[in-house]
Amino acid sequence: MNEMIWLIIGPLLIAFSLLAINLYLKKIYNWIIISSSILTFILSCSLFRKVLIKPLAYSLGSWEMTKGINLVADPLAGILIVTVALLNLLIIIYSLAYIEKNISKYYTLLFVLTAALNGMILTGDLFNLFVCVEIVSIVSYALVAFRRNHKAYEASFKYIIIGTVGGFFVLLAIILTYHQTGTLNLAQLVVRSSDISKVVKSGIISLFLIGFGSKFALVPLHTWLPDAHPAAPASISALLSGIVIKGYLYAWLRTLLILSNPSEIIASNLNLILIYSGVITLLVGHFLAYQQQSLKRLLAYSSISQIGYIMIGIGTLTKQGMSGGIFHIINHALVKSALFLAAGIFSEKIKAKKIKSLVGIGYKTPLVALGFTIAAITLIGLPPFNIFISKWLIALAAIKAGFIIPAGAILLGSILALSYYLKVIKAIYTKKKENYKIININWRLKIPVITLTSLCLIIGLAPNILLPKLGQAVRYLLKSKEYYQILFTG
Amino acid sequence: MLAVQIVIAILFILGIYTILNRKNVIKIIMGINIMEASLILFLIQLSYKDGGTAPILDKEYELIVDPLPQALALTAIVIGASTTAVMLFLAIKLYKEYGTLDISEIRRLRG
Repeated sequence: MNEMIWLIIGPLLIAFSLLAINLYLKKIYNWIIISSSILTFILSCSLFRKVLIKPLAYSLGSWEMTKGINLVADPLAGILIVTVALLNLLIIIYSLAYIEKNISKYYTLLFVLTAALNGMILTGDLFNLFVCVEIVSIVSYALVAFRRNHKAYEASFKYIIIGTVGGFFVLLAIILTYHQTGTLNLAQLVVRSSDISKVVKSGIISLFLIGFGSKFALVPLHTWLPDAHPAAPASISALLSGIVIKGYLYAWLRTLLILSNPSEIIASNLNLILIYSGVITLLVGHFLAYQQQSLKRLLAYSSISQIGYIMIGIGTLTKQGMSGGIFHIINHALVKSALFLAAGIFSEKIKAKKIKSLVGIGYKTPLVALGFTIAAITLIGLPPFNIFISKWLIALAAIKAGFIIPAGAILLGSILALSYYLKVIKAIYTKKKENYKIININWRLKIPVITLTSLCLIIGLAPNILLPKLGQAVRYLLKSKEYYQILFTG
Repeated sequence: MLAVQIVIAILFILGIYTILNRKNVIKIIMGINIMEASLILFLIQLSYKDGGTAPILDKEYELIVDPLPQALALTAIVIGASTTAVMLFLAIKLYKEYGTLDISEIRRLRG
């Protein structure tokens, strides 16, 4: 059995059979969703283990590799697939207690999202990449509007306009690539991309940057994100912020390094654009987050700033910087999901949406508030946790590559993050009245938050369980030419 | 050929202009559709050959049209249609919530 194809078909099959199950087998509905997401997780882990030994390729319908539709998995894709599956599992556990209305629509959309994300990460040709990106986008628009109030509709409309225009830019870039090379297969593209003339290539690369940039909230194109994330249910904001924008980032990274290679990027000064757009993203995100009164909006702006760190890491184009950036993708997925899920508990169970109304919440819900605090400290970048290590790697790589200002911006960003997260933590542990009653919270809501925060601590204490694998992933990423030739010529 | 390419460029720019300049929600959606139409035209234009036929593997058919861009165009049309459906749904809901389709009015009402 091939895991790659089942990771796409499986969630898709479950998504649409859930509608029938909701009609006829309502009693075992919850068991089916839980067990199928556990199954997806196991599948993704087994794929990851195989991929670490040797990158895999799979051709649908046993066509020739150059003609058919291919799926490709390398260590980087494997790591992201595991992250998607883990977050999906935890968020489904959370949603069992959190979502009360329109249950069947919600889970159907969630499984379609997982399938499309897996497809986006594993796909081996550009056009399927576009199709999967658009499926992910359409499902996210629907999920942002899930609350069915005026704020959600407005946020979703804003998102759909920017997202669709971004999607068209991606499509235009793909059409131009096909026009220039006559192929959409990534392996053939790697070989033929040197035929494209310099001017056209830089045009294509910038179209990809604009298109995907508007989807992963690079700064001038970020305006949808601070509306869309708070308007969605907390579980969905966790998914959107944790893994959906990272999926787009991954897709962009793949296309960038397939169309060109590090030495070419440095020769054309594109790395400067990447690094300084990262710096601007980071500073704008942090400064706007500092002014926010609403907790979820603060977290959304903080997500934007984290994209900046990742861009700086990728922009250095060294092994250290890249692995730092990818490490940051995973760390941020874990931390930001924990924060959004905890904020969801605060806003649903205690009706605290503003930072001011969080006062004393640390005594009402001790465990969740502790989880939130640990996650916030992690995101600031204090030592025993995982984000510290990825930020450290990125900053070191930036200094080594001769970018002193970006490294300084990383430091400044951490100080700004400290200032606004401390504001929240202070509100949580302020005591106003003498006796607070502990509010009973469903264990399904608590478990994901605790698991995610403890994962942060574990990865922070023992980063060596992940870092060598990341080094392996980056090696394939930087030498994509050799890697794809190995895959397709055997 | 050049005339078609100019038309494509004009349509693309017209689409962006409409999205950026119009206040009406429906007109913004129309702008997006115009942009999409220009991209589909571009795909078809890429593979067009004068007197070309369907790609049937036979000796009589020598001048064939590249079928791949046409398949892509179909997929792009499907994606565009589903996105338009979601956008129109949101437009209806926005009209029901705010009683207007003017985007600046919608922002003002929300305060």
